[in-house]
Amino acid sequence: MGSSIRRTDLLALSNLRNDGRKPGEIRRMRVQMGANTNTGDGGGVGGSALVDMGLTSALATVRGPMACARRSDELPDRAMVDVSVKAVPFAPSGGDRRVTNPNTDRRLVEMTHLLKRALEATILLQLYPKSRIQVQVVILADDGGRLSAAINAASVALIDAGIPVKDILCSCSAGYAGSGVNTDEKTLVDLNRQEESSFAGQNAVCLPCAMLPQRGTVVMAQCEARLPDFDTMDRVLGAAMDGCRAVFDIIQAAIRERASILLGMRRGHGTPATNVLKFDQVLIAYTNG
Amino acid sequence: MSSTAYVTIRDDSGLASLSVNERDFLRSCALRGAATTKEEDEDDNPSKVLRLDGRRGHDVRTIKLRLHRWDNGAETTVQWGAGTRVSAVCSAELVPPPSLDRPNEGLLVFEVDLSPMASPGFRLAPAVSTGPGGGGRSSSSSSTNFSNQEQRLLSNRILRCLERIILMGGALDTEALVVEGGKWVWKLTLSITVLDAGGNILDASVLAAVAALRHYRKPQISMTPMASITTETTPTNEYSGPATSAVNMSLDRTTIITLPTLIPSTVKEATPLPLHHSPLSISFGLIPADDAVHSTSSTSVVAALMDPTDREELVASGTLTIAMNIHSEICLLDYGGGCELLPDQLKKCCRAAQGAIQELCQLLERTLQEADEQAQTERLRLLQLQQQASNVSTATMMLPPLPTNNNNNNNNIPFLQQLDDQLDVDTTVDDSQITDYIQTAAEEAYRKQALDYSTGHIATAVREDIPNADRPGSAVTTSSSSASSSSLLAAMLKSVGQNQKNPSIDATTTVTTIDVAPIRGNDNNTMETTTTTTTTITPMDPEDTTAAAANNKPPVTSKSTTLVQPKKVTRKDAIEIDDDDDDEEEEETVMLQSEFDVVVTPKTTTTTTSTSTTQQQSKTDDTMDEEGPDIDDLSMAIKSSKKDKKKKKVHKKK
Repeated sequence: MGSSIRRTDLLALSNLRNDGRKPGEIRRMRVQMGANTNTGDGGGVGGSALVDMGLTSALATVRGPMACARRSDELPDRAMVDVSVKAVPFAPSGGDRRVTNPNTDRRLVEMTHLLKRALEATILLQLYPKSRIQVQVVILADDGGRLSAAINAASVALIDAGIPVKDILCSCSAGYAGSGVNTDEKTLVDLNRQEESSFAGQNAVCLPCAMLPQRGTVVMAQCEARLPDFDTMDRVLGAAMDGCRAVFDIIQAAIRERASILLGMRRGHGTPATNVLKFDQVLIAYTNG
Repeated sequence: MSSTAYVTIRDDSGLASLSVNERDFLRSCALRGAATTKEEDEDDNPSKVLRLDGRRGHDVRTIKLRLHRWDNGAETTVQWGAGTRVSAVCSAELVPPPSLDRPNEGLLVFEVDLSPMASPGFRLAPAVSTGPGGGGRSSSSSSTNFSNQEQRLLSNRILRCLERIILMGGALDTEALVVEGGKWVWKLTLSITVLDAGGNILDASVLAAVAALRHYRKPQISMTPMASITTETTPTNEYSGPATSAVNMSLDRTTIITLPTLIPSTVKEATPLPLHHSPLSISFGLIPADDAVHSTSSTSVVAALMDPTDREELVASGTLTIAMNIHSEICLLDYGGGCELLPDQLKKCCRAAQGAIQELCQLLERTLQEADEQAQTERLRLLQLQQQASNVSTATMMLPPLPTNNNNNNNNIPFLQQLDDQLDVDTTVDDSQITDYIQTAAEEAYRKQALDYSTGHIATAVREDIPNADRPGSAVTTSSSSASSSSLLAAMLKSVGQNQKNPSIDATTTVTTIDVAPIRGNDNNTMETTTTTTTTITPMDPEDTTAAAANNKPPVTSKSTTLVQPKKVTRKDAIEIDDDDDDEEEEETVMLQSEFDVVVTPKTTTTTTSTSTTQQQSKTDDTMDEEGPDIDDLSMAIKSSKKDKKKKKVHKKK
């Protein structure tokens, strides 16, 4: 970029990010429930969801509760959550396209692990002993925040499948832009790929976090890169939680819309063609920090 | 690896092995403090919790750290409490940059190895690594095995945490690992092996990895130009048009390939790695009161046990890992979920971790400093030994192993003993030990050579010389055949033979004395140099005749040189032995004379000029008689050959 003013400098000038968002604003989110209607074959009622966060897109499919594939896997007192997260080869956008084996890519394996733990905290597992709930997530496009998109997609798919959960699991990431005069405005919510990668020479701070908004508890939080002190971490965590609440609003609205359509079908309004819900809403969340 | 190859009778470390009683007991222990108070007195909770090994809620187990360093390598073993042991090895090599789009970055490869050695619950699985080839391998058939997936997730988690803490946390900048931009970079390999899994292997792995990185010293590099490639660009390039081809024809590119070589640390001191800071981690095992099984109304009560043991890990629903450095900067926050946490609880855990990590950092610094001092003294000792060894003697001498008893004890003492004793370095004793050792070593080496010579241990070498050596009998023959040999080699051999004996004793010698100025010195050094060319000359010593069995004519030059030195000492002994082997010598000489006419001559002459005149003279007399038939044979051979030649000439004339 040969211009005298770099795009990243705009943040200091006009408090806008490189895609025109304000620091506390999440990306445009689309939630589509029942995107994959072929989930009934796995045994039991299934559910699916397609979630777009900006340009990042994730498709989740849930099957279960059903019998375990292997007797040794089953737990005597609760259900087992079988999660797999994969990324399609054309997922990464931009110049970072590397051929990675989705089976052993350690970032995907880590994502699998985190998603599993997060779901174990939300699903009422003790209702289905010795059974298995299978969750499969595919990352279709990756523009940053794919962990959050995967978690959100899995959560909506769970609800679409009708599995009882404690609360709707929502996830969002937050970051810290580093050096700045006005530190309050430097906490960013819902980072995209460019903000996640090395940012002006420093390693960007990226904190994806998942929480149960109505209960107010954090289920998953991850952060690397150096944070100067606890206060910064508190602020970033707070910003991430605000982002999660914004995501929750959108998801909740989408679920209600879907439920109303299904109820309408029962009463005779509407056709199966309208089974697929297209929901589109822009929500702006202002954070305090 | 298929898991059906063996039968597991009882799995002691899986989730299934946790009995209901044990789980309830552990949970009650953990939640004891948490049950009484809700949110106000949560600070007192950790002290009320009493765990199986007697710790409180926020107590970390005792940690012992052992460091070891060698040329281009460092190894750390962490004993974390009684049940967990992890070892980390750090080494480096020079490679070309791995990817073209990042020519100015080095490589840091992590490798984590969980094996059944660590825990019966682990299956045999290949080590997970971040380097090429490690991450690309699919888990094949064992990937669907649930227990294997747990293990895979665990090893992957450790790998990812290491990667994030050290690489992404900014501890080590890969750009500092560049040697020559675009050509050579360092590839650091950090291998973590879990030796014993007794809970919280993640923290132990991080501590071992960071300690190994800190303790490792990078060797210096010397860039030696190895080859130069000259390439001419010919106008065969498809893309070059006729205009550029004319220019290309005259271009002549020369690329010099430089191959960097590592300099050993005794020559140039190795440098530490450029670590910005040393992050260490601590983990919590989270046990919620509101479990999946035990649903209670108090959903926000969570017990956090710092540094959980393996049994506590089985009970815990979630884990929280925090990594910080000594400046209280948070390097990693990994809350893997599994249970719910209020943000306040999260913050409280972070604060509690801060104190524990500070202690860990101090332990690390202390241990690193002590180990560094120890390694420095070791290196100085090596340098001293080398210097003193070079001053002792010019001959090649094998250096005895260093008297590193103090250090060896450190490695052999069972690990659970006090670490302080192991790391003490007693420098006063070592210096005297060094000098004594060097002197004794020199004496031993000298004695070894002398003894071998005197007792005939090097006789095997000598045997080979015997046929060529002074056979008393061969003296006569050589004289007769000397006339036929006019080669320079014979002359040299004669001259060398002269030098070996005292030039004064020439009475019985029929050797044509050919004075060669440089050789006359009777110096050992010159003798050594000359003996390399003349394999057959060493003989003059009667000792050579002791072992007359082997008649080979091997190149015994090296041994001949050694023989020269102690010759004066053991001559008398050798003489006695000679008498026994005269018969054998005769036979050998017969064979040899026919084969090596030229060479034999000088040897025989040298034998006659040995220092012990009387005895040798008597020998020569004896051999003279014995060699009568030999001489006849030789003369007959010569005559026959002459006849043949005459016949040939006659024939030709005809």
